[in-house]
Amino acid sequence: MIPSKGVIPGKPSNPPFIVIDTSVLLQLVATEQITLLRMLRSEFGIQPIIVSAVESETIQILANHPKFVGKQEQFKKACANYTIRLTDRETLTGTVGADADSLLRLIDSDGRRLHQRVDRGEAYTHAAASVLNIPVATNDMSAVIRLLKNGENVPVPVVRFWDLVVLGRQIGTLDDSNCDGVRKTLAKLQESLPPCFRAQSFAAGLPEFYPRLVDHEKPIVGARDPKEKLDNQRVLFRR
Amino acid sequence: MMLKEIIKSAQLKPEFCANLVNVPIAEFSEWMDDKKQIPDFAIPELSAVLGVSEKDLLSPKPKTSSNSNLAPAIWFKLRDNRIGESEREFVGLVRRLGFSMAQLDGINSTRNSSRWAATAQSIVSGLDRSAPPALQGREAATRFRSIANWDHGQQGIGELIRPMLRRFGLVVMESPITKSTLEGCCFEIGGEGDKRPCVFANTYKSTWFRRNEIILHEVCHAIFDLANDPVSLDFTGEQDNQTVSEERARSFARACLVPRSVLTHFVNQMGLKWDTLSVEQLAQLVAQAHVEQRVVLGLAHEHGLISDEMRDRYLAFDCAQALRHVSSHALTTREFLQKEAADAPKWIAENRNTTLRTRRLRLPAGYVQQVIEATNAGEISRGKAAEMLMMDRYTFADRFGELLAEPALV
Repeated sequence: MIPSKGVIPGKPSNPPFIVIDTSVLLQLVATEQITLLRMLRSEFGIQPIIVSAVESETIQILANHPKFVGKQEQFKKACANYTIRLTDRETLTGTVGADADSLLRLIDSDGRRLHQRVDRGEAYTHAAASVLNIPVATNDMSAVIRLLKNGENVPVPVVRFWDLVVLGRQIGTLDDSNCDGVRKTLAKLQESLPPCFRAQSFAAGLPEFYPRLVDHEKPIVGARDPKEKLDNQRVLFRR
Repeated sequence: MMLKEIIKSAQLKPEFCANLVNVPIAEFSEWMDDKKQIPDFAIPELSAVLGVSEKDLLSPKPKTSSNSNLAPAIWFKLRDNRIGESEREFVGLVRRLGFSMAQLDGINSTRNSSRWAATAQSIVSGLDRSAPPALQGREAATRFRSIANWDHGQQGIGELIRPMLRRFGLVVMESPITKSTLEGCCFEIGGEGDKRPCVFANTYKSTWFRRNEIILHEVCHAIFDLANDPVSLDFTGEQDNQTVSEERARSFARACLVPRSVLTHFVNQMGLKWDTLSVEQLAQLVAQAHVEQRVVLGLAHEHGLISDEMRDRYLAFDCAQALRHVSSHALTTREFLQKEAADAPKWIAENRNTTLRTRRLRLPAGYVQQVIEATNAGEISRGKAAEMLMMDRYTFADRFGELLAEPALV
């Protein structure tokens, strides 16, 4: 894991970055919850980053797919105010210093290799996660399963859109009603939902959802025991 | 970088190229104007579509050079004044598809490019290249029929051509390019070190019978000409083109489709008498031979089975209606797919079109099937499958979601 700036030895630290893929980014935009990424940055010091392939794909889908019409501005704004940063030299230098260029080259070469079997957004996102050893936020288990089957390094936990929502609910950024609004919006857009949120309200489904990101201070919400194979929990610390 | 010069000299529109590699035009423009480096993810695709090496694509802009100097060979030829934007963009689309096909081959550990190279080599090996082109074409056709195991049967091969060519590693595309006089063409697709030919037949105002001949005509170009000529183009109304390669290809296609023995067999089997053919009988003959009326009559004449007078008389027969009754291939594409694909999955008939701006491409059913199988076998992710079929993940899920076993999202 690459170190965060100003880390005190022995003190538990958060990853400096989380790399977001298109599937999570689109759901954040569609539900107007980019604020959850701001929460990661301001509360936990975790900078959300995307690779350029995801930036391109997201802009293309937001511009062309009917269900996202009118949502482009949110994404542009989030990039402009650095809520989301591109995985580039400028972003990485602050954390890894002079190693940024070599890490970026590694991400490119790993991304190209993974692109044989997963799409380019997924490929370069997972390459960044693996090279920087940071969590990846993705809903696309098809790609994760494919990469794990190939013996690729996929840092855990694999964070889903709903892990961000439930983390927001745990620390009070969102309440049950906000979360249920998110659920309804996604259902209306025919976006995929975890089974526990498909046929019941957020509050009713929450006890069945095992959150993969939890705040170390506030009481944990959701299931206490893992429900799925990839259920690994990461405790995050406030800045 | 040379991207801007290459695109310009290839006479492609930046908007189209941006769509082809699925990036916003604003981003593509930044690459062209050297404001941003081409990101790694786009380099292999651009290299395969444009036909330039990755090194050349990223090399600095030359200080002095005319545009034409920078056009990759295939695009240079596609500057032909009979070729318009629609044809060029179609070739771009197919070359983009070829890039994904090569990736799929890599996943399936098949080397279609090598398979085709071996087939073509066994046909041309020892062939007398100084012989008259028509004889070269006929001899090559005999060899081709033998390799394909068509030399034993005495039946039309129209229904066997496409699957057999694909087994040989060739990419066969049939799609409409509206208002184009391009009937068929042949060009290479794939990335560096993994190139293979694509033969294309334009379905616009064309029949299945006509396309059987066009496809085999292009196959002949793939066998003999592609090594020295990056693209061969055939236009409507150029049947009298007297170049060696065209004469050889014409002869190859006809000899491949209906050798004399097959024609004689049909006539005997149906109990036909050449001097008293009716419209219905001629339609029956066309339906059996899988080639157009004029080709059947041309071959019968060439083989001395009918006189000049008989040929002219039968050419005047209007067999269209009679043919529709005896061959489902005489139906329109829509009618054919409705009739023949009634029991097949919906996607075979309806969901194989991919669209890029105003350009539409009907993807080969076998390729779509392979992509779905690779997804279900866990060889590729759903996102990759969508990318390989040149559609976004939502369109892919809408069209093929029911066929996929693995849940994509949790």
